[in-house]
Amino acid sequence: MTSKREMSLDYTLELQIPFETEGQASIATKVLSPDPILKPQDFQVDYSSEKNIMLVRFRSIDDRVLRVGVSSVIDSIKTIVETIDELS
Amino acid sequence: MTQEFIDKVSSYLSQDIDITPISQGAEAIVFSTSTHPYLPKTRESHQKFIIKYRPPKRYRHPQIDQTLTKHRTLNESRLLAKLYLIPGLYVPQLLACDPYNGFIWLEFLGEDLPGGYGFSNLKNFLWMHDKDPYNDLVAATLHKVGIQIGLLHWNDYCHGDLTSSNIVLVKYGAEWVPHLIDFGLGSVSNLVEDKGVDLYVLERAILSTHSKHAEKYNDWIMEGFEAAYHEKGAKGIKKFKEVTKRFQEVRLRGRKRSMLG
Amino acid sequence: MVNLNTIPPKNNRDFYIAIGLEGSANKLGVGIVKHPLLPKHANSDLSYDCGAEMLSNIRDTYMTPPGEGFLPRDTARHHRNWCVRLIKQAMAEAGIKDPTLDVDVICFTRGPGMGAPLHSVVIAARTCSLLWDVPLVGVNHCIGHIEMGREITKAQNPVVLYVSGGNTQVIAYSEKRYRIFGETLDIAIGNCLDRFARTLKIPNEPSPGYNIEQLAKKAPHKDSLVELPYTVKGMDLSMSGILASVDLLAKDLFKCNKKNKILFDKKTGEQKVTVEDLCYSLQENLFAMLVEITERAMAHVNSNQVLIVGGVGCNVRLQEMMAQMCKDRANGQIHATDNRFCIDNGVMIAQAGLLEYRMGGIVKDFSETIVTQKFRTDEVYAAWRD
Repeated sequence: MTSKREMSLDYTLELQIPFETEGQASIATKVLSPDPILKPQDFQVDYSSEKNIMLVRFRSIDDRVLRVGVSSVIDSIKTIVETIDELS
Repeated sequence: MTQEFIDKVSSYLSQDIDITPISQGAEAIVFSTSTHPYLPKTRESHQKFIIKYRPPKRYRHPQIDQTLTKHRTLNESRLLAKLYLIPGLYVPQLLACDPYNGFIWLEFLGEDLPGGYGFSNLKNFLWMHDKDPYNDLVAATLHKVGIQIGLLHWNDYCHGDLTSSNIVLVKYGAEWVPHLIDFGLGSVSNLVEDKGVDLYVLERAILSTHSKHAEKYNDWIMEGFEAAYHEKGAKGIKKFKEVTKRFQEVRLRGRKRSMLG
Repeated sequence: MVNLNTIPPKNNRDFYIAIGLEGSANKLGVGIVKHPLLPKHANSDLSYDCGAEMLSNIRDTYMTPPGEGFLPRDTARHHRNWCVRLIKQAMAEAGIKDPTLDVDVICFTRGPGMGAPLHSVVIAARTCSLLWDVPLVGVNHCIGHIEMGREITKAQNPVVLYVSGGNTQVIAYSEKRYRIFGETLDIAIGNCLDRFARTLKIPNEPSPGYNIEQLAKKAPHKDSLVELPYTVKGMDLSMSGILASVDLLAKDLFKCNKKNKILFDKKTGEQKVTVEDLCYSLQENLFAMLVEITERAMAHVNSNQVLIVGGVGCNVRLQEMMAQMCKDRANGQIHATDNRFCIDNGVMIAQAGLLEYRMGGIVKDFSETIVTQKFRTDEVYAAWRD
């Protein structure tokens, strides 16, 4: 759906998160990708990985929604990193 | 343990009254007897009656137990007496009641189903037809069940515990006529909410007890329910819409209710 | 007949190992279960008798101060903070050195429960699955309770009373599903007790329900109950009205509202009812309703076994009442478990998940691991049952 609303997701942020290996970056991407966004008309996030870097692109209708969304994704990334560190 | 209750009932009734235990439900123990509570015994007494006894429930606080037993016995008796007079509505005839001791005497309804399927309540009847569930007899019987519930609700009564065990089928010729029993949780109510909950409780009971064919069964019951209301003309149609609308809402509440409480 | 040995254990082992991760409410649990591979399970109806061995069962509860409930965000944070530590500890206790070789399946709670806490745990589960190359199985929380209860008590086909903070259901098995015969029409029993505990401002530790139970034992006027609504509707029940009434009484008691004739003597103004009495009356009333609907379901499906599961199932008074009901029914039997299994835990998720795994049910795509707040017991196809 490329409606007018989606066009207005002007508040963006891009994170590049370096992992130790390409495999780890790919794991993080696969773990985060499946979950649906609660309000896709207000907030969108795309995950991808290139070599050992995970790329996360956020788009949102305002900076408040952006901040909440980003912080929740970072919380999940922390769990992933801790799991990789402690359990592999 | 049940023997203890049987002895208790025998001693309450005195030895002149014969009793045969038929079933132990959740709330009551049901006996059959050939003795009428007050009419003299006729020579050819092949007549049967029901004695329904609500024993004290030892698991609950005596105060709760006494209140419930008295309330439900009295409530059931009052409702049966009124419902019996409504044309087209079928309930067992009340013969006598003793609310303080938890006894009710009723007319005997139903019979044993062929093929060892047990007593002729709707549950056993549907199980009997499990191999050929969508035959005309099942459809017609469930339609009539719906009519009974429709009539009950139209007259502003609610059953409170509609399940396929609480509907007894009485055979007249080739036809099975549904009778509603067990009105212990029943009420007089003109609230659509109570009727909606009544229908929801029944739908769920059918769904859990007769899962495989529940959808069709519930459809037939609701068709009969609608027919009973439509019979009453424009006012009936309006009421029917109100009740079914609330029924959908109650159902949605049940499904959507957050599991978090 | 069912073949529970459809999938052989990894590495030619003669046993299965499953890890279970639970975090649907304020308890975070990690448990590890071992099932021996036995020929009798190849063609039978023995899913209640797997010979399960609990290798570890660790739990950490998120505690809140008296008068406060647990909020999803804070609970999720608690689970994130502890999840990896608990997994590590559970594996050490179970003697698992290399999960890639030693673990057959990772089981996690997919629902029902609070969204954020469920999500924080599934993130760890997915990461472990990819790191170790071990498949995932998503488990319905209620099914976890039922299967754990069956395995512990060896109750083959009981009517199940499932009573916890989020659920109140009477369940019986038929035709490959656990069917809900009765349930609450509004709030859950545990929720009702928790909220009353908050009104009373009593501690949440070890659990609000436990503290109400202890207060109830000390009630000075057990022979005169405070009358509360009794709201059984067929095999369903309603509890919000009861909570409202008892809450009101508690507030009047705290305010010392002498106009309330239930609490204070009409003439002398003397207090007739204590907080302990309110706890006692509330329990007696609620539990009588629970036992009644359970008995209704038993009569309806011609069963004589009851299994009580869920956090409220630890309550000794509830167990006592249920036992009395069973004693008064022909051949009635009651089954209950203790704190280790009644309260939310990881092994129950491992147990139910392993049954599903042994039937060949694994997650094929991560889209199947999306957690869900609403997930009804009867949505699950119980392939492992006959």
